[in-house]
Amino acid sequence: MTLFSSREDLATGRSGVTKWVRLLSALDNARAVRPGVAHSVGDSLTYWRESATAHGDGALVAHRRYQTVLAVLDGEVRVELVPRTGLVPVMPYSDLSDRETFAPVPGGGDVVTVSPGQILAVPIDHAWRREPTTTADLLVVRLTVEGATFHNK
Amino acid sequence: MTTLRWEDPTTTGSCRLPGHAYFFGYDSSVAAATGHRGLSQGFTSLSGQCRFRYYDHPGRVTTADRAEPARTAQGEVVQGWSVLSVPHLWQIDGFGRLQYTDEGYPFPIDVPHVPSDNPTGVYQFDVELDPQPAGSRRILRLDGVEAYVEVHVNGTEVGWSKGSRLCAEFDITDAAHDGRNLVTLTVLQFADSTYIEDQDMWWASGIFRDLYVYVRPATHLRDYVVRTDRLPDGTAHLTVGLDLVTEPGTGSGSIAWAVRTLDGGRVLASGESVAPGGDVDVDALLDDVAWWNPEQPVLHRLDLDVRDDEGRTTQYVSVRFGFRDLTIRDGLLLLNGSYFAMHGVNRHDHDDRSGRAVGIDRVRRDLEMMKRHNINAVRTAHYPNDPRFYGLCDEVGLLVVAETDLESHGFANVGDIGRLTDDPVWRDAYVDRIERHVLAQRNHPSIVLWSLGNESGDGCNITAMYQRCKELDPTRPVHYEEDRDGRDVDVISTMYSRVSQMNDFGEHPHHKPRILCEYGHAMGNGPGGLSEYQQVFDRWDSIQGHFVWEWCDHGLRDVTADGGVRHTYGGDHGDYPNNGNFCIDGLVFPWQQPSPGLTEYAQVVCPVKVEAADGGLLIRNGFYFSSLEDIDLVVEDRVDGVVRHSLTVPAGPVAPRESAVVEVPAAIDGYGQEVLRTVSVLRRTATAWSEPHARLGVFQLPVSGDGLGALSAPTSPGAPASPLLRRRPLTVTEDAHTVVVRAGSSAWTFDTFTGRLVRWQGAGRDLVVRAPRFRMWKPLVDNHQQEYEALWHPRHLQVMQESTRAVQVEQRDDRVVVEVRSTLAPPALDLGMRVTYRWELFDDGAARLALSGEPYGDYTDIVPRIGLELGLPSDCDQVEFYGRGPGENYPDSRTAQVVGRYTTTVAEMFTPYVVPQDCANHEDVRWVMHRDRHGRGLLVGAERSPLSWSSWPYSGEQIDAARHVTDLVPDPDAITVNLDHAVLGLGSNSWGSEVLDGYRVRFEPFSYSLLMAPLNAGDVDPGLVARGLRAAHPALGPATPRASTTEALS
Repeated sequence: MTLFSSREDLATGRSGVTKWVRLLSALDNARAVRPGVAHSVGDSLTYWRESATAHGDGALVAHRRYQTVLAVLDGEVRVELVPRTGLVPVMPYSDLSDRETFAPVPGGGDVVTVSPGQILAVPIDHAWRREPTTTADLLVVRLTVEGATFHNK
Repeated sequence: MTTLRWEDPTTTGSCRLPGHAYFFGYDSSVAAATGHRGLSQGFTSLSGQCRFRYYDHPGRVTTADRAEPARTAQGEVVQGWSVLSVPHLWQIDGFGRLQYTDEGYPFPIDVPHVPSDNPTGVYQFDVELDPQPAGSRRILRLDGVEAYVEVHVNGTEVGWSKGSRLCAEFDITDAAHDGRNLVTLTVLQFADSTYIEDQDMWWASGIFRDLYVYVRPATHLRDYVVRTDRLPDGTAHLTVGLDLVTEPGTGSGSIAWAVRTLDGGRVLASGESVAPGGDVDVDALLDDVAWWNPEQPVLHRLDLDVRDDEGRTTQYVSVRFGFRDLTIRDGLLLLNGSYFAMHGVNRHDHDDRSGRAVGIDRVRRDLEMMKRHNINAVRTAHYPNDPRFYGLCDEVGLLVVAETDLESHGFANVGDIGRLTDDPVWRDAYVDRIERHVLAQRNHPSIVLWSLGNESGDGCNITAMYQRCKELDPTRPVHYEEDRDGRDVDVISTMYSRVSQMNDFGEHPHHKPRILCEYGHAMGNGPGGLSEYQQVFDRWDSIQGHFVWEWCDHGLRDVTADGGVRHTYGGDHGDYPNNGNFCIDGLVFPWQQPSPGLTEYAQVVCPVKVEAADGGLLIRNGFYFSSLEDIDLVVEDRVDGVVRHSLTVPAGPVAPRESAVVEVPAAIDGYGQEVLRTVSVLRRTATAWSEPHARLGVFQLPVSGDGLGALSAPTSPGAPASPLLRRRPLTVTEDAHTVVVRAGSSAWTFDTFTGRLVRWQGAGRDLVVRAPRFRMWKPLVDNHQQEYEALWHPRHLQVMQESTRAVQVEQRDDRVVVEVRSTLAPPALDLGMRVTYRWELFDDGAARLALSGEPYGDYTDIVPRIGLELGLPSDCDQVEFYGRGPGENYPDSRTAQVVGRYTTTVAEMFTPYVVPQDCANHEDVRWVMHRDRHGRGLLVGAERSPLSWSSWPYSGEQIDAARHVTDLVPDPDAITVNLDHAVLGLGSNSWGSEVLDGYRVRFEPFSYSLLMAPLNAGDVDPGLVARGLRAAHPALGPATPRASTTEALS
């Protein structure tokens, strides 16, 4: 798990890596897009704004090809993170959605609080869920796991 | 310093006539109704032979070149000139040099300058022009000249133009005369406009489309605009604007008009417009019209009699149009009020013998082939086509994303793709391109979207183009992919977004409709993963179109010195820089035959889906405008791969986008054998592009069995009892280097140092000529090039070495066990796979090979395959198999093939990709037999999981090394046979989607096995023996799972 304290922190920490640079442009465009509408930057990522309260069926969700990055625009969100290994599947993985869900673990996982301006990169080997009681205006980014050879525009 | 015309982006032409719709006037209504332009007024074609001179610099062109015929009094061409035929590209005719780049300019970026050594061609045409009535005008029309053209007639310049794939017309009346005229075209390969004509294709130039002269009478129709709107009650509102031109002093005119059915038999409306020239000169409400749509492309005729001020008809015009209404409502694009989606392809103009100079007959074949493969839409990537192309789309029923001639992709190489697009200096050049395009094509019902261009970044000139486009045609939505947030455009678009990204778009839809204008990069073998894309497209109404990149390979036919035929690509013509075979990326081979990728796509977009249902079949109608009353379902029950029962049922009147259960009898009993039900979807009646009973798709539904054929011995009446192989006592003979085991009809020889099976004799012959070896490498496919560069090549996976660690031979009651432990690992690194070959040699002459592996080291990512390779004698090239076929298929590209029993040959199996690569794979193989022409050979049966199997007449090394098919010579020693546990999916990551997770084969522990036996197929059915082997030699446990298939959307 990586929690960037700010946009500048992310820009410094991921400097020169195309997909992260594109993530920065998504962040910069965040307040210009309609809530609930997915946009993209190149093939590296999709992103949309949503309310944290709009989410939360209780299951942990994990991905394999696109890691989730959460940026809080307003409010605050608490995110539970659990290593995927050993979790009990609820819905099997689908290539169509790049998504699989797991049952919550007794006692819960690690909880990270993300404040306005902070950016949380959920590790690809972790499942996650937001605590439904938190309220926030979020930018949800689905960022490719592909690396340096990702040559598409 | 003088500004050169071809280095000045503020001007796009001189004395070029304003654009207008493509049509002709005729001297009679009968001639007009034929639509044959050769019969039109004063039509004189210049296409065909002409004189041509090539220069390396435009400054070398002389006044005489443009004014004096380069022929002697005897009709011979003078020295320095050649005779050739147009349309053509001069580089293909041997002048200058071909070059292929995807996006890079072939010269330094120095806007607006181009190379001073600018290849230049001068064309001379001797043109006989008939006398024409007074007041008429002669028009020279150029349908496509690349890139800059100057026109002289009898030595007088009449104009010049830029815009290679936009038509240009010049009034040559004042320079021409009755009788023989000299028309000269001076063509430069490069101009400032080249900076915005940087499409992914060959750099080549010349007159590549037709050119001709036609005549406009003093009173003539200059242009017309048809608009059809569907009113809420279904009534059609037809308006037509007519631009009547009368030469000075000839007074005003009129036009009598009639709307007719295409055959002319029924008049729907008629009238007369006096002094037309407004936006609405015809205004009619018509009920009960047949609306045009891609499934029923009903066309009508608009017949126009153009009359002068004395009422005399000066020309007859008959144009085709369709009643077609486009609206966007609630974020959805509607055609005639109904939802639809585009299942399309991107099409470049290409002919393997003439490049972009494509004959209209080949264009028609392209379009008909699309229709036969369930494609309902085409994007004209990335320029307007021959004007007749759109009429053909109207006729056959293809929706068109009509793109104009614009791409500045080369600026991406300097990190500034939008440099010109956001430069106001280039505004007019950009706007000119959409204006001429829309004016020329806007009456075609097939066009549903205008596209402002491709890969040119974003900027103010896009906004200007959009605005001009909407002024000229407010009825159609506009598309431009790089306006991804929909600032201007009416339809949002992305390219190469991945499957789950498209699902993201579907789950979070924009308020404007969305398409995926490019995806499924069809380079070489592939694309894979189309089925998953389609499931997402079909789920979300907001995704209204998807276009595979691309239709046809751009290979150019070349005959080698020894008579072999190959197709060339970047680098084959001494061109540098180049993008190699990146232009070999089509669903259709250069020779206009479908590739396996097109077969797969046809199935994926099949408009009728079939699933199993209680009491019958669930039929989903994916048509948007048609019921299924013209659809038959041929239901076949296959028992162990052989069709044993068949019936045909009509699909019935299932409404568009609805589903219904069609009752059919239960499948027949297989008496312990595997039963699969196959349902073929046929169109009962003929169409303009297909024969009666053409197959739209095929679906297969499992009935009984375990995916390997039946487990039990046959129990059907009369079936022979097991065993089917003669048992003989096992004997073992050892010497210093080998151990020989004999049993049944088999004699196996193992090298005791390597543990390899060096010889297998059985069925009266040698069966194996190259020992079975564990393999993870296969000849690289284009769609895995990035994985090769990032993962495999750095780890040397293409040159792994095998070392034997232990060989153990043990004799038991009914078998001899040979266990070999080895390591397959790359040089220089500390990773690899520890492999165990466990041979069980049975007393009936059969053998089991169980193969397992445990990886070591830090590599856990994907590999091309987990499998086995062996060599069989070259004469064992006759093949029969029970598996997925008949065509090649891969884990993520297999929906078009069904499990059955097939016969073929190793040579026939090999797909001739322009660049040789892995091919011929078959999934879900239960058994396969290779045999000689007497029926003797080796039977291989899957045991715990079905096999992925392929056979080639070449070695894998030969295929990997070959750059063209002519590099391949059949291996004289062996057929290469691959019996794989798992094969990596294809994906389309030559530019786009990586292999989906469900089709990834990883460097992980594995275990699988197979049974083999010598056989004379003339004596016994191999399917029977394959089942008998499994019954006689039951497996001990399950194999490791193969890559999983995609689960339902969750």
